[in-house]
Amino acid sequence: NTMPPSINGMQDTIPGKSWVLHGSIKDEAGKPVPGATVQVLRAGARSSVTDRAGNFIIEMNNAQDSLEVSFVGYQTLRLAPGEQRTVAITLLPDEAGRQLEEVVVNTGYMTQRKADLTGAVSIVSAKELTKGQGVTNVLQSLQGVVPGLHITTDGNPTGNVGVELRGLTSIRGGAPLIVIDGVPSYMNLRDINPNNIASIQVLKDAYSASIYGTQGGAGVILIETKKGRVGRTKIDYSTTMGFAEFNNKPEMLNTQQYGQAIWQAFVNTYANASEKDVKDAIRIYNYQWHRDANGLPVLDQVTPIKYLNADSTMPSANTNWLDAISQRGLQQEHQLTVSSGSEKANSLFSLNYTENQGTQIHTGFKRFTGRVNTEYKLFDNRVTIGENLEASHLIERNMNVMHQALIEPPIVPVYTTTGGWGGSAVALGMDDYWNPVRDLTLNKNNGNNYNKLFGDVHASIRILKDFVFRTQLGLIYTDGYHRNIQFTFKEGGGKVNNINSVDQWYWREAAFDWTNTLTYSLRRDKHNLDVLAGMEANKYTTETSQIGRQGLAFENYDFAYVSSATGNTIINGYGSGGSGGDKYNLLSYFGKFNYAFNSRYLLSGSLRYDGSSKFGVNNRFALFPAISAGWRVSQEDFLKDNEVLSDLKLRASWGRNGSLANINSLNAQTYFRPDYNFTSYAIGGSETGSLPSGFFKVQTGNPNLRWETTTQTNIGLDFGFLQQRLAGTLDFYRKHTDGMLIQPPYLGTIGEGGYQFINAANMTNKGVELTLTYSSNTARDFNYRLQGNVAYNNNVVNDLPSTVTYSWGGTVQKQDGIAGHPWGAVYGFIADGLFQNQSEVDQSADQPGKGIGRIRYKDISGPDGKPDGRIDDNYDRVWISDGGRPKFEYGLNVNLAYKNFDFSMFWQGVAGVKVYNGWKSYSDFWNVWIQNGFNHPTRVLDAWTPTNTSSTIPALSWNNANGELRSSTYFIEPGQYLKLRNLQLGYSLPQSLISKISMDRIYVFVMGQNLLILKSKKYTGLDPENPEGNDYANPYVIPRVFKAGIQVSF
Amino acid sequence: CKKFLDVTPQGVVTVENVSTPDKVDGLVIAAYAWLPHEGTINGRMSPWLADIKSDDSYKGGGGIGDQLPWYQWEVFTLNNANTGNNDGIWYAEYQGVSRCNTAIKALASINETDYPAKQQRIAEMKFLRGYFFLNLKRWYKWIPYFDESLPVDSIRTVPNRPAGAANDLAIWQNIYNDFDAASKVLPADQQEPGRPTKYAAQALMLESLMWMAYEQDMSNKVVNINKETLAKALPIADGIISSGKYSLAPDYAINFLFDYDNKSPESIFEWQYSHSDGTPNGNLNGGTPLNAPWWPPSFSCCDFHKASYNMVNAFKTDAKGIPMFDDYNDQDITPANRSIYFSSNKWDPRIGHTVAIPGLPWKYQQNLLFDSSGSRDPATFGYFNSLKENVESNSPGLVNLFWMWNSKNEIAIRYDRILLQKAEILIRLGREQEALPIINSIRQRAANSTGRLKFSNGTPTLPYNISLYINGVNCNWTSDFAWKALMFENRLEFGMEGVRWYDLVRWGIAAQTLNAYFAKELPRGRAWLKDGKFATGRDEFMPIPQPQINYAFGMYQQNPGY
Repeated sequence: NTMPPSINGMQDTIPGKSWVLHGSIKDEAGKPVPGATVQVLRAGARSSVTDRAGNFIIEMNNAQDSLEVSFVGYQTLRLAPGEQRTVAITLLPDEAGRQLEEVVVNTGYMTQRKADLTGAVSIVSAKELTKGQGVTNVLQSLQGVVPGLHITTDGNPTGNVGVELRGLTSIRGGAPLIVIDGVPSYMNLRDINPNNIASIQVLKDAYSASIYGTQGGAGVILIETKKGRVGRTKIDYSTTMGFAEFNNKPEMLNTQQYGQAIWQAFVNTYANASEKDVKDAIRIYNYQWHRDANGLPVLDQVTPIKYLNADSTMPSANTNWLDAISQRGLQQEHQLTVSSGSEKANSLFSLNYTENQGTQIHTGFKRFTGRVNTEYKLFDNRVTIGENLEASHLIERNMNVMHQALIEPPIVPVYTTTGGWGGSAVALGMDDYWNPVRDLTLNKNNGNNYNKLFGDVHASIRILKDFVFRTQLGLIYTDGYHRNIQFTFKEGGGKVNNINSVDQWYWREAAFDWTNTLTYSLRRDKHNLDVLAGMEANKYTTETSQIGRQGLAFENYDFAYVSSATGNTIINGYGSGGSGGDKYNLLSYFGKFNYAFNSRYLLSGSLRYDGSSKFGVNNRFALFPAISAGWRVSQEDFLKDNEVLSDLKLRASWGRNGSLANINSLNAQTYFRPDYNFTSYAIGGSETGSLPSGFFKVQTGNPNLRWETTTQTNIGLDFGFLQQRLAGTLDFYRKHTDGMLIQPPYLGTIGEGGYQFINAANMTNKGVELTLTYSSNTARDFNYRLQGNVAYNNNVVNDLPSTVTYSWGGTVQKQDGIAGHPWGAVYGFIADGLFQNQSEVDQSADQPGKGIGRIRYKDISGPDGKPDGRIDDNYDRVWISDGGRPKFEYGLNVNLAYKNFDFSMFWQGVAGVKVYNGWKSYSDFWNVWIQNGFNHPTRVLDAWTPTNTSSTIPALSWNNANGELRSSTYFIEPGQYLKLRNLQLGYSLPQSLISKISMDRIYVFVMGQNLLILKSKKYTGLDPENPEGNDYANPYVIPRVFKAGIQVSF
Repeated sequence: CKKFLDVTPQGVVTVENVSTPDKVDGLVIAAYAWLPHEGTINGRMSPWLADIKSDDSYKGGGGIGDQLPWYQWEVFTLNNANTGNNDGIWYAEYQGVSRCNTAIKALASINETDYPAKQQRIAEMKFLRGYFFLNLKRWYKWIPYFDESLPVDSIRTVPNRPAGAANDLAIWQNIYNDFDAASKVLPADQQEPGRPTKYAAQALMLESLMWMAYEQDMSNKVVNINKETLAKALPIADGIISSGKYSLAPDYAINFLFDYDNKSPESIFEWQYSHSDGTPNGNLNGGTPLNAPWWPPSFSCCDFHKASYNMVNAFKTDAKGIPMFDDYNDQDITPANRSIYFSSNKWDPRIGHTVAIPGLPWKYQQNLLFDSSGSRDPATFGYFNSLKENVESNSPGLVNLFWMWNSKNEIAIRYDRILLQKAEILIRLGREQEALPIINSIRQRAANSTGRLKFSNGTPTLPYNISLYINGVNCNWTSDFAWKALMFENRLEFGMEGVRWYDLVRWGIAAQTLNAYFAKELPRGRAWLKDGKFATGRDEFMPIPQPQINYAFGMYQQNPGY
């Protein structure tokens, strides 16, 4: 009998009330199963975990109670022990058990019980991931789910995602490392099929991430793909169908309103304008207007001219360009998974097709993926070999013409009366707008295609009793290509393109990763020790060629190849971005240990020694240490029996990481290069034909260039109450990035190639993250689960090298650079209302371009440190916003289930953010951009006039003499929002019904995405999540999506 | 294992790799290539940009906000050390200097027996370097000067205004010396027309001396006209003239036509532009793609560099066929009087080569009459476009990329300029009688240049009327009159070529000229010029770009007034 007599002084029998059940859990081979969970299936009942010898004890007080025994990798077992005092349980392997990732966590190269975890790791299971049905990029479904993971998205059908973990790690950006089944990369997760993902773990603190050394500075996202499960062959098929539509369409001026506004802008600017002046300036409308008793112009009637071109094929129209480019985009997805497994082998095979049509016509994204994962256990389970492999083919047609559609004046028709393209009447003085429908239509087959192959082969061998050697070879291979035609066209208003061309692009990138590890496990008395040592080598190569040629006799894709064109040949770009190539290698040695004493006191440490070919010869290698400790307070005797508190763990960690993302292999080098486009000259006087060419200096090297170093301290608390029905995690962190790579601007006299990378700037992020989960008892008809999280982050730039002190705001005169402010903070003027009358204008500070109805800027200071009666760049700007990164971000997930119905909704929001609403440059001004006479949102109709003096919108103006596009508080608006990201209602057909047709499961659901946006009334744009509408950007509004789906298993 | 990290950078070389007899030409050609390639518009000192600051031209484009910094230059009061694109020009010119210095150092390291062209190539690089410094000097005045002997690491120790400098002549002398050194080595003829001859170098020696002669004090005031310097310049001008290599083209138009690339007898040095040369769009003139009219289908963009009404008026001649020095701008040209105005006045033929006027042929194309729709924002910038840098709508050198690029060569040094510089020297030396025939030779050629200025029916496009100056007949050729005539002749001969501004500064009359110009323009409907005011002692030169002041950590002094 292996039963211990008693554990922790607990008596075998508590008289009259309850008794203690002793159990032992073994696997098929008779080996003990440590870490298995034993749960009494009753509300408020206790659970227990097996020790190293596979033994457990649990308090029982009802002979009717059932026990549930579960452990990762094994079938969950239910049993009714009745009044037995001892049980011996054998668990059968079951891949389904892997769903319980709560128990074991991959911490990079090795796994660890979550209970023993001392780092800050967030885990998202496949079950949680399925909530965001049909996201293109799996990261989209993490938005607001993992505290500290700041995800930004837009409405592009390819699923563009920006990721920052625990604030901005480096001013050069820096996305988290993505490790898929142990293979590291900075892969765009758009390329992978989210349905194949079994779990995602986000390593947030430095201890957790530091085992990835130079690559883990911005955090690490570990992705495990689904594997075959032991049991009979299982087939799953699921599909979703639906559509995406334009959300929040802004109301733009119609032709009548546009005519009014352009007239108003002119007479506002040219106060003494004559009728002829107006006629000359605005040739696309006929106006009847007069001056009132005060001499103010009054518009009586505005009539568009009949035709906008001399051919009379382009009558004035009233086009809503946003409607003209919009469509309801079909969304569909099909996934077929076949899996099977035995004790000796398992396999999973899946196929997927995803199509996302965009909300702009002719745009969309298609992805085909196939995956095969297999694994074999050989020689009495001493050897495991296997592979994971996914292949995908992507088709992107994601042209975005939002800017063009927003600004194209409504008077322009989409088509001419003869079936040609309508277009800006440039001959009548209109500016150079491009018909966005023409652009989308002509280019509908232009875009990029990608093929991707990624995965690994691996083998592990158990040596002696406690040593395991594992080797893995990973590959990520991508090729991208396109063959695009630039079409000739003619728009009715005079805009033409007479030169056609074909552009052939081919790019391939291969990344190899070879990892070898040796692990050792020690289990002795109260000591648990796991030790790992390893090495890893990464090799990257990329090559690109892009050649275009003008002069196509036929503009169709069957004809258009570079070889069939006859005109000028264009070899584009340089290096990995254009025609060229790149190579770089990374070599690493690392070690790690996890130690637990008595399951209460936990200590872990890791060390990684990394070298990269990208770095200066003097600083090629660097060492990244990390250490962490934990105390499972709830395991202490004084808390062990606490009825309320079921878990309490204190954690602390410290560690260092490097950052390699966004650093290229030439950064440390001095080099010259040839560039025919940049160093050739017709010295012989030739007018055409090839030219002599040479070399120019690109960069000055820095042999001391080294890693950006991120040092992070984390203090965390895991807690659970009421048998974990209420559970949570709280983390505090401080993350300091030192020696950020900067390529400072330099003294111009140094000349070409003076750019040099240096390690210079420092930055700190501090934050708090809290997750809370509250679940009902699972044994009832009605279940619910609420999960909420909130994260706070504050970023501050600590210091910068002197040459760039004022590169991101601040002036030499005021000595107020960005140091001390968050990265991205906005420096600008304070807009102090509008000038209401001439005396206000006259009395105000000297402000070039000021006038009635214009923005008044505040006189803040001068050379003597006091307001000097003059508005200028040097003294009158201050820090007006901390920039677009929210201080707070939160998410709330509500899951309800009643019998076979389930309902879930997910809310996500941000707070503590003032955004730069560049959209206002479209909605509030007439002519601040280079092109004049944009169309605008109807908001401009409420602009200031002598009779509408309460307006806060500046008077419409023909020019921008007052420089109102300047960065000022006029554009700073509250950016908080709360969005209903996802709403889903599902129904599982009753087991009784579907088992008759030999099926395991049929589940149907309907869902909606982005159904509601709550934002501040003071935010005047469309969506504060994407506030940039400025600088000729293309805001891509996040669409609203409706879908329905079915999942069947048999 | 560490060898695994020794990865050779891909697709690049070191300067040592190319400092060999068979590769060093690559560094030389790259220095030449700098000019057609140095940025575009905002990143190079394209000559026409200087016109914006003169009374010859308005910025143009789609309103004053279109390339706002140019508007800030144009009115002066809004111009400051932070004005956008000021830094770009500074930086770009020094990039050109660095290409020359890199090439000179590489050439110097090679044995002449292995590379016989060594000395000549070094001379070419000195010529180019001098040219880049000349651009900088005329634009900013106080610039750091150094040559290839200064290690790159020490460049930051060079001040822009040497301590104790009483004037800027020492900087000029350095620039002059480069041209002087080049002229001593360069041949009289070059096989390849892109390379400078000794006369090209001498022409820039002359240009340097023409600046050095007008000595400025520390507040940009011309305080002395140095006759010795002028006397030194005269034989240089004479040398070029007497070489017999150059003559005035029979038709002024030849200097501005694509078909005459490298064919004008007047061209002393010419920037070479090419198209269909294997580069994406050609080695095109990067300075002028915005300067075609807004006039589909012939031209799409962008209507910059608009002839000012003041300059158009300057081409008026009086009944005797000579310019109206004092009252040329008394009348305004309005949309209403425009056609009558042109037909009722008499004109110097050079207006037909310089300004596109509605109703007249575009660039000598009799079948293509320019019209008012070619102006993008006439309420602001009027109806007159610039012709010289533009090409015919059907020119093979026109590359339509919406921006209207062309590969017409740009004559950087022209013989007529040498002639007028000689005339200027003579007048300043009190030998105005000798200047008279020179000026008249320029006017005679202008008078002869009406062959292309005709409608398709053969009638002249305007009532042209130009006479030579005949002392006692249509003028009294005194020293004062000669000087006025010379100033006017320069304006007319080089209209819209970026010469006028520098002449105004050099002669010390920028303030009076421009403030008089603003005073007339503002009431004539150019409301946007209300901020136009020229501050004496400041606006003669651009401010040292603020970023450069910042990066120099006290080594640079800002120009006066900024």
